[in-house]
Amino acid sequence: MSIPISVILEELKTTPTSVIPLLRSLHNKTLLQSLSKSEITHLTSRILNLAKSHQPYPQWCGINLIRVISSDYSILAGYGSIFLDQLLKLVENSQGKILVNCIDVIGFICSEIRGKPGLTREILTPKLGPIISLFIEKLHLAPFEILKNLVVAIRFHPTTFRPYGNKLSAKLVRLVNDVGFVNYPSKLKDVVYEALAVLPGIEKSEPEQKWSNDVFGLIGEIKDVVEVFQEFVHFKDDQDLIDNLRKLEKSGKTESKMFEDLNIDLNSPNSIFQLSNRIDISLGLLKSYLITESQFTVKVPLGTIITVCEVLTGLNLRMLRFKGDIRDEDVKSIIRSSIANIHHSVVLFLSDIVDVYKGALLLHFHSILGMLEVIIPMKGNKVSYDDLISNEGLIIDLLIFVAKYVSLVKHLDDNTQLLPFVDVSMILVEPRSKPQKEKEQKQDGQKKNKKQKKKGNAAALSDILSHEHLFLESIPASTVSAVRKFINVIIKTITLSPSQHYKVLRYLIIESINIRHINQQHSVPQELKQLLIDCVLFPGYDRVNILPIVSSILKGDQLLSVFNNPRFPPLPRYVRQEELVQQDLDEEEEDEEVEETNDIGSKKRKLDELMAEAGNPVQDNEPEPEQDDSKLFKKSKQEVNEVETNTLEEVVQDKVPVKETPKAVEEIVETVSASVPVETVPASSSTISHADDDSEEEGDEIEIPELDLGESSDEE
Amino acid sequence: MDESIFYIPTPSKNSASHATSIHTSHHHITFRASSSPRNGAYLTGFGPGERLFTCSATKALIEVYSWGKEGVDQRIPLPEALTCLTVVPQPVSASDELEKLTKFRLPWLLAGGTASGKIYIWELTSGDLVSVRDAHYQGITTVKFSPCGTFLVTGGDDARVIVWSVVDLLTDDKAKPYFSITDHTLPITDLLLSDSGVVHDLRLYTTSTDCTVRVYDVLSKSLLTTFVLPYGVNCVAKDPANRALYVGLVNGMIRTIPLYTINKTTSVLESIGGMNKIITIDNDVNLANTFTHHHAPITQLDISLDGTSLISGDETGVVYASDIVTKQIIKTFTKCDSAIAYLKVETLPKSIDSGITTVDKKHRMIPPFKRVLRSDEEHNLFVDIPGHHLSDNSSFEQWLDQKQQEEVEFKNLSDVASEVKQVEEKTYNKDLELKLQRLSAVYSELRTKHEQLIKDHANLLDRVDNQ
Repeated sequence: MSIPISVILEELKTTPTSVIPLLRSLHNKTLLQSLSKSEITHLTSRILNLAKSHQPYPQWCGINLIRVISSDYSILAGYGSIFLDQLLKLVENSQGKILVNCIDVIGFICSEIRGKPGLTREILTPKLGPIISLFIEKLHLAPFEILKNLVVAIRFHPTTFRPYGNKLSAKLVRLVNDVGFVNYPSKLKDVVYEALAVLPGIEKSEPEQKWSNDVFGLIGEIKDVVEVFQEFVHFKDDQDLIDNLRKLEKSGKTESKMFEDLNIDLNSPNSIFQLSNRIDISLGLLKSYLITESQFTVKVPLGTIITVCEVLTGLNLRMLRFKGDIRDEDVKSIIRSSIANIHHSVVLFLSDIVDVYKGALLLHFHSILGMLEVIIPMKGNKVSYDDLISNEGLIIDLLIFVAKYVSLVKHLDDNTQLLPFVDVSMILVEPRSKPQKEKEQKQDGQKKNKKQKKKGNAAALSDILSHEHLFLESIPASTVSAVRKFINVIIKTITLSPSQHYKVLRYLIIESINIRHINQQHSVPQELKQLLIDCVLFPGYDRVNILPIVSSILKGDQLLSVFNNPRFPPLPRYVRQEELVQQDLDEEEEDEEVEETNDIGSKKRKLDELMAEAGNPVQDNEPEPEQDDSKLFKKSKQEVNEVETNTLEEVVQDKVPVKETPKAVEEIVETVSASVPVETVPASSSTISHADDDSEEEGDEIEIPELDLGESSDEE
Repeated sequence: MDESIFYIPTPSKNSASHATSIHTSHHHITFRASSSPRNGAYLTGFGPGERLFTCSATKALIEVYSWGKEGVDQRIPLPEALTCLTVVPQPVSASDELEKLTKFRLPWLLAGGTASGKIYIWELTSGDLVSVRDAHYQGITTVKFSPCGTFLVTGGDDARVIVWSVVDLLTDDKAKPYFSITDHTLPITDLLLSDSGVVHDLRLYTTSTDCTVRVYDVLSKSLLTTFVLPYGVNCVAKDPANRALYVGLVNGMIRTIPLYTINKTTSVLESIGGMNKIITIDNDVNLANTFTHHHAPITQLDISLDGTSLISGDETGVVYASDIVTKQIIKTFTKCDSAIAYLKVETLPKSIDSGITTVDKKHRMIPPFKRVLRSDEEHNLFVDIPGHHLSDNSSFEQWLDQKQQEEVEFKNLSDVASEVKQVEEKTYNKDLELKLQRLSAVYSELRTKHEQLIKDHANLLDRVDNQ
């Protein structure tokens, strides 16, 4: 539905009614390439006119049209510089949507130019400085978009960026120190962190040293914040915490502080949250340093970082007592939730770095699982249900991290460290009726009734009494999904204790039956399906096999079909069955063949001589000209690509019919002999003793039966 | 696409290792003066950025060669000479996003066995010695990681095979072996672990000079099958689809051991072995299942991608690629002067040597290996942090959709087409303002005049009164 260029030009004379069809047509590469020089001049000048307009809509049209046409190399080469000038002018004078679009298009043009040396020299290099300085100046207007582009600029043009580094870092630090920063959208926070993390890359000498200083600086600041908690709780209750803090003292030297000092006042307890906010920001920043793609080799102090996590999780009111002067319940509960926030930050932090550090983190397997275990809220020896539900977000992220981490190991013999997490996961997906509370409610019912009647709210209460099921708290989807992911990893990795194993299976089966019942297709969603299949694949503690149950739940699953109709792998078939049938015929024609393939015969003789010299008996060469599968790789490019997709069986089968007539055999032999003499062997091979082919013949004739492998130990 | 092999000989006067294509005449690289004891080398891959690790039975050194550089790149001193080594790549987690290849990249762990029966494990990115364990009573002949990196298996001259859980080795100083095998009676020569997506299917194949090949189920710690061969077994390779085993014997023969057969009485295809069966592989008089082109004990075996060619190296340094069906030689590779110590087959894309190579300008070394066991807090990694391998899924259509959405925001969708014309209003106001200003100026002038007059008048009256 491409619009011809004349119509497009006509439309662009004034503000178009809609720019979308024009964008779509101009995206067509062939249209742009077919334009004459004058048409291009017209097109670009009209688009620039739109962009120069004072009205927002034509400006917006112009900007986006510029983006589309600059995907064409010749236009970009000719007008790229003018486009950038115009866009920069717009950036200077606009805000909101237009600004965001401008930034986006500037980013796009830069990425189109990048990597092409000529264009970079002509257009990008002279413009990049102004672009960067303008972006930094306008940072507050569209921080997310601008930072995204600046990060790319830092990464690809560290030298050009160098003069602006301090300015940007000052702006970013101010942003991070903003009181509300912790509540910024997480995408924006991440890009701010990322920008700070790539900044060391612009250092002229030893960027890795700057990187390392920054990381240790952050570690030092985290340590300082943790020490504030000394004012609230007795650190001396936990010697490990003190030891770990001492370790950090040695490594974390803070030269210049990035963050401003905190101002905590127990009389305004809300200020205590500044502590957890600061830790959240520091860990977010530390995470960015650890996972942002680096252009240089960095020395990651992973051991120290794990110690930081240990310190933060060591702040735990299960181990530490409040100091005597903290009496106010409000303050206590704020400290409690502030600590829970800190734990949440640690879990998210670990969850992010495990993707990058994988095996290196496995070296700390027991300490990491150990420190996470204490996060689980306990009451006596049991998991505290209420605390668990009130910290659901934290627990979910905890399970997601444990799943990610444990999946690095394919099998664990010792399951003790993971069992508490399994318990927690099962509690989370229990139906959330709270019988005790309801009873309490009913007991208080009369009081409330009276009150509410007075307010005239009796109708609302009657709903609670009559439609109780509507007031059962449903389990959030994110919890369900996280728990399932966790279970999926756990059943693959460890053998659960029998009771837990049955609990998990029970949950899965009931869930899948429920969900199957309530949808029109009566099918099970992918996530549950995978879980059920994994239960089959990793039976674990399994006295009664779950296969029949899963098979009846998941009818028509491909993998289960292989399980229920076990089969052996298709064996290679090599032997000429047709030849055996036509043996008599072949024998008659053999003489002819030998004559026809005389030249091959001589080569064969040579080969035999070679073999004889090598001391090899000739008869061990079972000549099989058509079995030359190794040629898969010898053929020309295109052929190789085609062959790749064929299975061995197909390759072999394709060639077997050739043998049906002796004539066909001759042809094949001739072509092969021309190209690869060493392997050519006369087709008369069928005469070579059939006795030694017994097994192979059988292998050929018999189709693979579908066996019940239930008892075969090899397959289990 | 191309398939290539790499092979390295045991030490001799002119030892050199080669990486060569199997199917074409293309030769990738020769590492000069490289050699290793049997099973004492590991190539991380083919192409720029990859490395070859070799050990030496006489010197306490690991020599590292970088792809693209023919000579030794780095010599890492060790506390003790290794007789064999292996390397395992980083483990893969469930939610792995694909990462870009970094220029400086190292595998996860390097494990080596010594003549005194010790295993050493180093973490390559930090150089930390993460585990030292007295494992065998005599020298270790081979160490292998399972493809998933979860298990490490060692085999020794003391005829024992030990399976270790890697996490246990890394985190527990006193970790016990996961599974210890004492079924063999003579030194272990080779180990093979199957690639299995489901860890329950992980099989361990062990070979020994006691003429047996044993197959174990690792997780259930049970012996599945014992194959008894007529000669001592030096090495083993496996069909990718698990249909047959290929074993290299001390007499220079390679035997095919089919893992499925047709039961002669019932004509039903059956799998061979399992249930702790002992299966005797008889002398193959007709040589139907035997490759006979080698004349010296086979030392290394490997198999091609499609399972149709077998790559074999022997004690005289000869390396052949042979077709499994016809048992003929497809290719003879450059001969080495001494026994083949290690062999690796890999399938590569076409572009490996041609086009843009991402050669690391600033070549970086592997951190030196530590001699003492690591402590927890001192764990410093030297890494290039990889970026995400972004598959570009932001299509033009999506972009256009977004623009469509934005365009709507500029449009007037209400049925009231109102336009506020501020321009005229402003001029009108200005006029009024000007008029007002003028009037007030005149008024104040008038007023002051009036006040002046009243004053004058009052003065006049006063004067009249006085008079």
